[in-house]
Amino acid sequence: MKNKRIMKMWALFLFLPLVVTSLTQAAISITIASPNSTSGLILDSKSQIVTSGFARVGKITGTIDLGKKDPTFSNYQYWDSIFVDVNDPTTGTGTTLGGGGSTPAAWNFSSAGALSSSSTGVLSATFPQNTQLYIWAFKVSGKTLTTTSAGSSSVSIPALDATDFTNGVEWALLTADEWKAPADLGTISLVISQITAADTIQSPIFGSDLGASVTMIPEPSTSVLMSIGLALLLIKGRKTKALKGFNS
Amino acid sequence: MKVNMKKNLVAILALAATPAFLHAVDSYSDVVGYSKYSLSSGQYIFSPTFVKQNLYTGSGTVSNKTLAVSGLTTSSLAPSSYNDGTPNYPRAYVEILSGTYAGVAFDISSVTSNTVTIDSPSDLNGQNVSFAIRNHVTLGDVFTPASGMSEYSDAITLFNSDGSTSIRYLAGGVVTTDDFTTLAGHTPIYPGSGVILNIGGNVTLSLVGSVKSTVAKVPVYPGVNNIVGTLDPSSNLKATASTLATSLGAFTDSATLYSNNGNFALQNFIYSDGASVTDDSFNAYDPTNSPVISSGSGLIVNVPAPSYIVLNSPIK
Repeated sequence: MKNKRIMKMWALFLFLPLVVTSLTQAAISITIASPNSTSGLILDSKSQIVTSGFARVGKITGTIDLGKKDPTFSNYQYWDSIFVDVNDPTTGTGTTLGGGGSTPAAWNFSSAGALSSSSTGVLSATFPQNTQLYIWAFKVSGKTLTTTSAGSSSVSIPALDATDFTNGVEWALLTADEWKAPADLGTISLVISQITAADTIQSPIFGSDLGASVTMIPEPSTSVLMSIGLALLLIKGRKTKALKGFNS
Repeated sequence: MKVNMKKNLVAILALAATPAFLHAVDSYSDVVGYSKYSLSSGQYIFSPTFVKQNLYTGSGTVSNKTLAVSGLTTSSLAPSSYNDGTPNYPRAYVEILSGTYAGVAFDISSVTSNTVTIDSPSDLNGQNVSFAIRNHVTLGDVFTPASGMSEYSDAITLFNSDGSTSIRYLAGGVVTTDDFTTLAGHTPIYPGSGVILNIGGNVTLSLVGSVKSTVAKVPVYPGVNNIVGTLDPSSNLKATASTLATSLGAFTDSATLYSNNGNFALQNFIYSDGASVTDDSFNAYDPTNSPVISSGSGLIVNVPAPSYIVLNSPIK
């Protein structure tokens, strides 16, 4: 009996390294489902198809500060510092580790305004089950994601700079109740039409829900101009009403 | 107690009617069955327990990976050949029924009017074997709009032998790749293997097919989360009653069992000491505390080197 136990211990001693090597790293897959208006599209602030730009998918590790919702460079720096991407290298820049997943080409907006495909090999250690997931989508010219394979050390997400924002960036920060990281080996599909007013989580965070689709918010200058325009229209309307009243 | 995964074996019938019967070397009847799996929201391993009926059985010598057949319309067995970006997949396979490769399914890679060529290892050349030809069970056979699968949302995950992962969805009433456009209903599910299923609501999967009457040898690859199921459509399988003790490499290969109620919680690690299945401390399980693999579900098998997991036929 004792000999048997000793043999078993020897077996453990001899084979334990092999056991460790046989384990495959736990990972999940995350899909963006925005191929058409049925599943919901991410539209620009004028409800038009977005044909240039990309989407980031990840989790937020800091305060969701709604005072920083406008697409300005300083606000971008804030959100970028607390956004951990599923497709960032695990040994990437910054103090937080990325998910290490692959980057599909179809996370860049297509000519039809669609987004689709999956990041595979996302480490569930970084995105444990039920982690709330977000899509941070950008309408921006000349910046695209670089496709990478899972586990790549290359950074796939382009950094935006102040110049981009002077040229007009629009963005949306989206989530939905259903958008939670699956268990190891599983897949979650982030379907845009799942964003509804009935969500218990604030959804969208920046942007507007049109039903199936959502819209981005414009750069502040555009917002200001639109506000001024709206104010002028209101003033004009009042003046016209007043004149009508005076004339009658 | 809420049971989230419910399986009803509605019927198992013994039929002596296959086109292969006329060519049979060993005549036998297919046992045909029908199973219904009712799943609530969550994550599952799903492994079809049926195979499709034999299109042909025969015997012959493998010559340059090629086997002679007769009386068979071979053109329907050739791999699909789309030119529009749709993936091309093998449609049919040869299962070797005798010799060292008994139970292994090899895809048919090309055909002539009276031969089929298979993706087999070179050491099968020159061996005289009996074999069966069947069409693959595909994702399109299992996952249909009628199943209650939510389009664009419910995901089917496949782990490929090269370590890559493929994701499939229902979109527009058909199975597609994760671009939601490219048709992929013809993606095969190999005998004894399976998929990971993530569903947001209730789904009912109905399967019809032949109960496998011979062993299956499921290939498993290093660096891959290999999904291995069972072949019994009517009963769950205790690990201690399975062939895992001899199929898993002693102390090196692992099989992981997850809960089958949608939570996908880790239940057991299963190893082998060469004679028995054990836990991860290499204490042998006995039948009273054995992990149980649900019919229609399966295990994740991780191995440091390519090998096979043998699945016994439920037909005694």
